[in-house]
Amino acid sequence: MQLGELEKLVLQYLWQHKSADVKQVYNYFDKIRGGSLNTYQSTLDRLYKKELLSRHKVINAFQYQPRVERYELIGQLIRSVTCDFVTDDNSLVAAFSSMSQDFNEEQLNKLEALIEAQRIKLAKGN
Amino acid sequence: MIEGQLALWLNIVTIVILAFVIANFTISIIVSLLAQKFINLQVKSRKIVLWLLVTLPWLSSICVALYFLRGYTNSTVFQSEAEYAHWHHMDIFNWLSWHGATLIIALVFTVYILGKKLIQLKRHHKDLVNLASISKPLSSDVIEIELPESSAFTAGFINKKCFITSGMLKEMTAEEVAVVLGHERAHAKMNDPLKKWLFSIFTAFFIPSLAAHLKLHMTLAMEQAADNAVVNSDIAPTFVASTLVKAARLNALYSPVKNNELVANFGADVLEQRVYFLLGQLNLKPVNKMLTAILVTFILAVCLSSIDGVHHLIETVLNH
Repeated sequence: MQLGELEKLVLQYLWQHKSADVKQVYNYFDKIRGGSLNTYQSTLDRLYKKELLSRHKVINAFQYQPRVERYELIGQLIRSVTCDFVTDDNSLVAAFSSMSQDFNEEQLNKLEALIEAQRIKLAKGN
Repeated sequence: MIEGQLALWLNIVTIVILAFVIANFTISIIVSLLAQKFINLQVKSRKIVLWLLVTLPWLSSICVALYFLRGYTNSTVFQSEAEYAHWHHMDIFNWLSWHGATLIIALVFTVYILGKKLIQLKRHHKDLVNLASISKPLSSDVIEIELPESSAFTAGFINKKCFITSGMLKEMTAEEVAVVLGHERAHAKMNDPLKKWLFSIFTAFFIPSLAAHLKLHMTLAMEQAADNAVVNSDIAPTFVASTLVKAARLNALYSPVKNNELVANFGADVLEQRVYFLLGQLNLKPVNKMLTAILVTFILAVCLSSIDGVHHLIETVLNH
């Protein structure tokens, strides 16, 4: 997902203010960075089309709300950055049998015990 | 039908493709037989061997092409066709033949692989820029992601950045964070995200299961090298190992950062081997240079001697 600079700013604004129409967004950003009402209208439209905002009509104007919370978007981006090219070939992973997502409590405890034993051994050696 | 110099070059490209397939097939058999032995090699040696294995089909096919070119530029067509490694009717090329079909299929496949990788890279870059822009920089090379989940990774090819979540910063002590960041900085210093991506391009030409195996070996080697870099900065190996297990425990609570060709992450890869490595329980050996040289020579010899055989085999099959 590609987000423009202004889209990110508008998204940040809506995360803080929860709900706003285009005039409120325009009034806020006009003082900080300028731009026309149309610019903010099309930015809100783009965010709506990207399914990052929801909207409903109040009298004649749309009220926009964030559709995803900040941490949800961050989670999506992390997954996208880190999982785009995952090779899910479990049979090969099983050959190593050591990917951490397959680890259970018992295996982690075993590794911790091993580390502790090594620590004690080194301490005695010193 | 094409004749003359252009036909010679198109035939050379077909020879390159055949040599590539033969080398790839031979290496695949070798890797299938020896894959578990790689784990006993020293980290640096293992990396070299893995790079050699994935680039060898390209190197061998170029060597074979040079050999054929030398033959056809230094002698007549008839003399060359009597040599040990030869190709019939080198000065004629027909697109409507298996030569032409081989060339087109190889070209389409290569463009597909490269295109796919470039599109993935572009998408990855955009997501990375977005992630960085809604996160908080802690220093010039470290970015804090405000997220309760625990994870840390390094990404970027030129402008490399280490990402760490607020969840991980909260759950770990200052000393443990130093280990995690030391590990991530080592990935950045060794250009591991770029190397992982390049390695994935080379492995894309192998069968998927074998490619996954090679990538897993490379991931383990890169993680062990980064762990080693932390140990070399005067941090006890046992402390690095316990931080690793703690990170794995935290990762397991949420969706772990999985294996990826463009990022290098802490705590999500081949944990057991890394702990054994840090505790000095693996008896790692340097690569046997003589054996490696014999292996490379063997693959080159197989390529050179098989070109004519494969050529005849295909023509026999097609004629019947």
